[in-house]
Amino acid sequence: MSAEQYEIRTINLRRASERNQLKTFLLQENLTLESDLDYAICLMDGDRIIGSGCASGNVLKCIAVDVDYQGQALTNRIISYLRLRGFHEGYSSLFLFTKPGNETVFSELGFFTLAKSPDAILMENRSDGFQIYIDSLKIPDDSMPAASIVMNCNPFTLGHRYLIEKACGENERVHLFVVKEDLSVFPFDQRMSLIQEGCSDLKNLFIHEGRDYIISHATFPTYFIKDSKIINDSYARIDLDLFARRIAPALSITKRYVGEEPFDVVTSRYNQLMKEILPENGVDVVEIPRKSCSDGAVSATKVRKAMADNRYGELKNWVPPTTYDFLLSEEGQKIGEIIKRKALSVAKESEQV
Amino acid sequence: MKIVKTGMAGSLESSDVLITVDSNPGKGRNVNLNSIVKRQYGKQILKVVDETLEQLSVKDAKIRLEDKGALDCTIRARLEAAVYRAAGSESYPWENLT
Repeated sequence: MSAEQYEIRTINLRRASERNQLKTFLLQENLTLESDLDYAICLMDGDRIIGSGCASGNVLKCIAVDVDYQGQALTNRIISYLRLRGFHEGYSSLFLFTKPGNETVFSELGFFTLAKSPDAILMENRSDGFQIYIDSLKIPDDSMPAASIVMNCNPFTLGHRYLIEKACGENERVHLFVVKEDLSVFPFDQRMSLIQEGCSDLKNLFIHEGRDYIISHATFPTYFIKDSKIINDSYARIDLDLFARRIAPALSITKRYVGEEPFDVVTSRYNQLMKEILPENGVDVVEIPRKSCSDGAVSATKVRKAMADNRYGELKNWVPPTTYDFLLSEEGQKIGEIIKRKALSVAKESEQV
Repeated sequence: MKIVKTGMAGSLESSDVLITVDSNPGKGRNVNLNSIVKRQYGKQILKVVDETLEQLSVKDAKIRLEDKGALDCTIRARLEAAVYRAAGSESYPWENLT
């Protein structure tokens, strides 16, 4: 039988029957159909799925070929298809998640390994993507030892400010990476400018975009589906491995500051793994207890909650004046409306349950 | 021809080559070859790439080839297509094959 006779079919992920067929196939290959997929193709032998390839934006995953059909270069067909599709969608580079055992298969198809964990690896289809990112940061004298912080700041609060100030006071130079992914209520540009305004007095602070290589859709997808409380160690490990073995050496980072996380399970597990992985690679983890005010620890979650409940007066205690002014501005009010609507729909759902 | 964006052509199937052309302003040509027959035909493939780029007068470009044993004519055709796409060109100088 020649490989050409197998048809490539695009799967409609919204149709339960097609979705379930793919799910069953992946299960048999020891893979799970992840909830963030937006594109999927299957190779078909008649009505039977014999291979699959899926994508979530510019991240390829859930790629498998039935063991009975291996050895016919079907993976090449799947990857060719996904790469052309990625090109037509306008992605400048593609990432790929796979099991460590498949590293050679995909390196022969033009993918380069970025980071590893015991049960997954992350690859990119160009070898210079990471270096281009590092060069774009334009850091003067990157051999100077520095501390680092990674933050989402959704939105920027006095708690964030406290952690940054502490790091800036204890180190000659601090790199702050802001999570680029636009999956938070406050859009990236807004989060970025609130941080810049709120930290303009800190002269040894360098603020950077996190992009694809730091807590992104590519390195740590489950971080963004927190509501589901999925704790997936492999993703957290991949993100931390990339940080420890690529980013830290490139920028002479010797410390990473992190805020204590008493509430969110995903973040607290991430912090726990951080303390395990980073020190092995020469990066110390400094965990700072949360800044507290009269009514407990300051957190961005609390700020959003207050916005949802229309308690704008209380915000002053938790956010710097620059953020406060923004929250009261027209644009800030718009985001407030979005938060209210979200809170309302969550409340309705739980009523129904 | 001036490369203004990413252009891609070909596939990873046997006897084909997947070529990606990117801009590389002012830095000349940077060819990255990955081939299953690099040891046997690496030099020949690079020669075809060089000649084709010369003909198309491409001065600055990053070129990546993932070759699965493509013949010279295939490499040339895929590279031309990728370059035209990367140059954002809509008009092709169609050749007569007879």
